[in-house]
Amino acid sequence: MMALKSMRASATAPAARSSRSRCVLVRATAEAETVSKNLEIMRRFSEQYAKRSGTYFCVDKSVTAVVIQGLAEHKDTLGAALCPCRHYDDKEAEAAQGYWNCPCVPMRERKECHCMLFLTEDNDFAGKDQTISMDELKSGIAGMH
Amino acid sequence: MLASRPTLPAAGRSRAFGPAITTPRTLRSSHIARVANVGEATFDAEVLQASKTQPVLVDFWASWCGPCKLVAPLMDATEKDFGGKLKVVKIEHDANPKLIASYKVYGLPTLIVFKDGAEVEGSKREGAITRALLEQYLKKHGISK
Repeated sequence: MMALKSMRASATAPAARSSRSRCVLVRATAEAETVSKNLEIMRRFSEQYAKRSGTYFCVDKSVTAVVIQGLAEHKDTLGAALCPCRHYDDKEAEAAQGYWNCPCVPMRERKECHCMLFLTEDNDFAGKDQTISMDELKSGIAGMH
Repeated sequence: MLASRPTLPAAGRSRAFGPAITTPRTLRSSHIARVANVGEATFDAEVLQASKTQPVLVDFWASWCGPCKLVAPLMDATEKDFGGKLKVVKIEHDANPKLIASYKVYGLPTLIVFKDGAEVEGSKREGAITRALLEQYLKKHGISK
């Protein structure tokens, strides 16, 4: 896992000396940003597959972002990019079986992606982009949970 | 699949309040109250019992489902648009496995209409939906503005 750490330190200036002794407080906060490598993998996969299949991302890219995050989560937990827009009676079995692993069979056979990740040009929700940056991804995911 | 050009919701971001004006404010989508999330504990009262006095539209959704995010503002707006003739509630997938199993929900989002204490047969609908198609779908099940 890629780990990006940023450190922020703030120091409060010492108060004027009074009869009580004062300490200088230096508060250092470490914010660890952990970005799943699978998120980057699924972002790149989505771009490549959109180009290869001649499909486009949703005009509202937060939809794209949310689905890519869902795929990455499944890849983290199940080892496969199981479609995040479905209920499964047994997720592990479905991931092993593969029908709903992205790109799922309906997508591969008929360019049907009910997640709205890969949209054909004639779809009312299709935008013109086949790329999504990590910044756009994070922005789209932010506020979901 | 989607017959009309969709009106896209703002991507999860609420718009700023406008300046104070003397004429009545136009209600914007950000001012519309969000529909309630219902769970297994409250389903009977909030959906089944409630549907005996007015129809209830249930939106089954999941956290990393992009189309679910896309239709969420439409669900919020619909309850308001129907002015008391329709109640709309949402049921989150992960937290409510018994409801998911009871109503055999697989694709997400899934819409189901409830009337007179029960699911309206044939009302289960999977996938994202535009405002126009939603009104058609509701009309088909006897619900108009």
